[in-house]
Amino acid sequence: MPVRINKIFQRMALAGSALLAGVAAFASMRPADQTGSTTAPPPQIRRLTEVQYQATIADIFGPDIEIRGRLEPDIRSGGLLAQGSSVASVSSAGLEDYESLARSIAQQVVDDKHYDHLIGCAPSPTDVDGRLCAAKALGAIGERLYRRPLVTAEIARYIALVQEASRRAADFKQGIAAALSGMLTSPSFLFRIDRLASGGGVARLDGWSKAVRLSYFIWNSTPDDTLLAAASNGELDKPAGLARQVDRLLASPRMKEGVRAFFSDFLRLDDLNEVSKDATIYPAFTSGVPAAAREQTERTLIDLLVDRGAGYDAVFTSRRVAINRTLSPLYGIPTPAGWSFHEFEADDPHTGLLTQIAFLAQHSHPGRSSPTLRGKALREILMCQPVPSPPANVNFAVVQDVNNPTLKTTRARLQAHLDDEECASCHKQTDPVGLSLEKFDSAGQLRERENGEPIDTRAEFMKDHYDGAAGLGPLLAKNKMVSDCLVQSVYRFGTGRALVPGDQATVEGLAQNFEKDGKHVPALFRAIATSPSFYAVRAPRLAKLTSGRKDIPHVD
Amino acid sequence: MAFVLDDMSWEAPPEQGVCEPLADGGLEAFIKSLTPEERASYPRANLRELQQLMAKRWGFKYARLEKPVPDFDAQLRRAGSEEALPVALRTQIEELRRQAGVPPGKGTINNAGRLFSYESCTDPEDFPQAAAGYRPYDGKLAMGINLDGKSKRGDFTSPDGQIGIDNALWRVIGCTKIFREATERDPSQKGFTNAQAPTLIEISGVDDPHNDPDVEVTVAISAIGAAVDARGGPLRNASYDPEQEPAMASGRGKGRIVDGVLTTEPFEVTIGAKSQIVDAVRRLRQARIQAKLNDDGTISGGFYGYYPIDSFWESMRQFTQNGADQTQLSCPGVYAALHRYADGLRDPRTHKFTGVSTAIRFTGVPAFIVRPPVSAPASAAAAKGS
Repeated sequence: MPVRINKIFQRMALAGSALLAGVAAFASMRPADQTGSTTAPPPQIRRLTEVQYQATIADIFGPDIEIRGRLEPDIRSGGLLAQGSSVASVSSAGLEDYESLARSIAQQVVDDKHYDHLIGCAPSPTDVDGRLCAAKALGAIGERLYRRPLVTAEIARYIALVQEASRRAADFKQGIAAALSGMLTSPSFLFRIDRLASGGGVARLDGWSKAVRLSYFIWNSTPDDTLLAAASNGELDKPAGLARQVDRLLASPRMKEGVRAFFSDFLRLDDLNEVSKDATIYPAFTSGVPAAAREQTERTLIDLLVDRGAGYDAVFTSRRVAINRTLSPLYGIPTPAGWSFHEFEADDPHTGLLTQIAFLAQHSHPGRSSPTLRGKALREILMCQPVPSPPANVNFAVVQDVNNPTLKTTRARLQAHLDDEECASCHKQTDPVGLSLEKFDSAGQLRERENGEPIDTRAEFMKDHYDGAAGLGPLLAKNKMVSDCLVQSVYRFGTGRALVPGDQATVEGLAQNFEKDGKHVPALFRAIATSPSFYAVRAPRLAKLTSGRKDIPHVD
Repeated sequence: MAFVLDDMSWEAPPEQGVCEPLADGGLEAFIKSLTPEERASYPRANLRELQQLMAKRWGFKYARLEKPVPDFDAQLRRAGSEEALPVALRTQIEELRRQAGVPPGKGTINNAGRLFSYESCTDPEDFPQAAAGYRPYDGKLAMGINLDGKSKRGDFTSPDGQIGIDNALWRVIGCTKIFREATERDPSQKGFTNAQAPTLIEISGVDDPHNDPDVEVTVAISAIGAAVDARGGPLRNASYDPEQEPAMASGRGKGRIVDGVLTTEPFEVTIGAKSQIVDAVRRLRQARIQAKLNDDGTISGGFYGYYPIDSFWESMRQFTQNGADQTQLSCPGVYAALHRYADGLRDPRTHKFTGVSTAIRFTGVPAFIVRPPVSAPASAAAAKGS
């Protein structure tokens, strides 16, 4: 029978970490010069995202361990879930979910299928109560889960928990499960907690924190044994050693997971989970399309930017796209079973990211396309250029009337809407580029006509005149705001925070080199991961503000 | 251009009252054979006891397999006959016959490989008593075309007045309840859909979809199930892999398109018959396709040809393998009628007809047939479609 851990202890610990996370994030958002200290940001406490949680469990216990349950929803901040992770806490309901998951995972680890290779020991004549076994097994697993070695007191506490739970359940394995549940619900597992190195006079991250930052940035998962060893032996504190580990991580196929995680976050592909279409208008938009569309975009980007080594420009001009049979009916093309790649002809309107179903369908209404939403997404996501929300009293009647006998096309209806001067100021930013994508309906399907009228996709983007998606792609590819937006977004993704003034020079330098070196995304990851700014931290001032403890980051 | 057929059915005429009363099934025939006292002792509600009595009295025999034979029907189809099955399986079948006390060559493995059965649907000729109450369709109208170019005794008239319509299968099954899906009175319009292994039609060499004097038509069985759209209907432009098994292959037919209507020369057509525990094929010989290529991209029309009795019966045997006595079908009645009304595929040795003329209506939506690449690499799949 499963034994529950000391719930009160866990609740207290998590509540404390949540508080710290909130305060740290608040501090991180304040301009550094207002803190009265250096321009470096304070230490961070970042909650694992759902994908990171899943990847971490798979890395530590194996991919066959099922994650049966839900996790506290991720939070988007500054357009990124990664940035939101440093302001995320755990609610009471969320804690219940984490506990439930922890028990489920722990029970799988100690089941007959996994126990021998994951735990590998049991009480014996020379270890009657199993203390040695528990210390060895939990010490090793604990280092992976906490991403640092366990301190003596922690191991002692978990051994005591194993013994107590074993006694109650009359089963040593259940004792191990109880301890594992405790670890899996601990803030040290659920949160990536920056720890400061001792000595030296200047605040700096310790090796373990650097390893964690690196690993979740490049692999979107927990550090492996080699990286933990590099953290332990000080390799990460030396530029050459750090570069060696960065190159090792980037050389691994697992770096694709990091790049994939970034683009999923950057393009807000998780929002596709909420996308649905009117089945009577778009019958080919089946229930599997949103997930497949997300996969399509991620696969296409990995293929282009990693496997084929193309620069970021190609994202907007490439005609090569990943496809499967869930999506192929929307394109009206044949495709073999599973995922494959399709190259559109040179004169095909399918050109680049903006003509993929993920972008087109996500930034449309359920029953009609939306040049405004598409244009807004382009400005906000790809150019990091905020667009104001419409006032609450806008009359959308003309735009929404798709059966208007005289205003047959979206362009015509929007033009009527733009006759209102108040609306026009914002729509001028968004609609032209959106209208150039109008040959793709709300489901992302190509169309030549709307209500029998030919669709006009001529538009202007930052004083350049062009026609359709194929014309827009090259303009985006050469646009500096687009590439600068990517650079600062990757940087914010890696650091998990908004830019602070101290970042300015670093990000500008990264952007310059990115532009100069052909806009290669893996190289950008490397440049960020080897940049001192990536690990910069100032001594926390939180201790004086809260409990006075000197080991604030060490919440356990 | 290619299509996946989303609906196929025995093409039935608009007729009223011809089939009153419907043909009796095997169980009905058995009940009518009982004395009034027995009928009182074995009411229909006690179906299991009634079935046990039926099996005992009519001599049905069974032997349960300790370990099910996987995919027996598919193995039998690939082998072509019991004699061509692997030696171990043939030996097992012989042992099952011995256990069940079944005559040599009789009975077969049924119930998804779990039961060896000898009863009125595995061996319809051995149980003529189950044919009592069977009746054919004796109306004047039937759907179909004039396959042999003749107008002869037994031919039907089409609803639009054409004479010489050949559709002997409808005469055999037209008044049998299980072929009349919607109600007992209305003729079936949806006799069989085939979502697990839909039939594919490919028309190649099309220069003009409205008029083309020379096109080639192939028919294939899909190796994957039918794709469904967000409304629950057939998904347009889905990609399908054709079955590669030689026993499921069709021939190629020459055809022409006139005013949007496709008409082929006769050729060999194999269509799927797979659902739940059934894994059969329907072979049509000297089959023609007449179908309208609709402006909305769909196709609607029919297969018209001769259905070999052996092929028809294999699908019937599988459809009834959960026990003929549980069906509303008289296997012996239908089987005898198939031979009685056979009108095509004359055996050159015996000079007897071995097939029945038939008409199978279909509708389909645009699709792609993706054939495997002739050689590696696997990633560069050769896709062929519209």
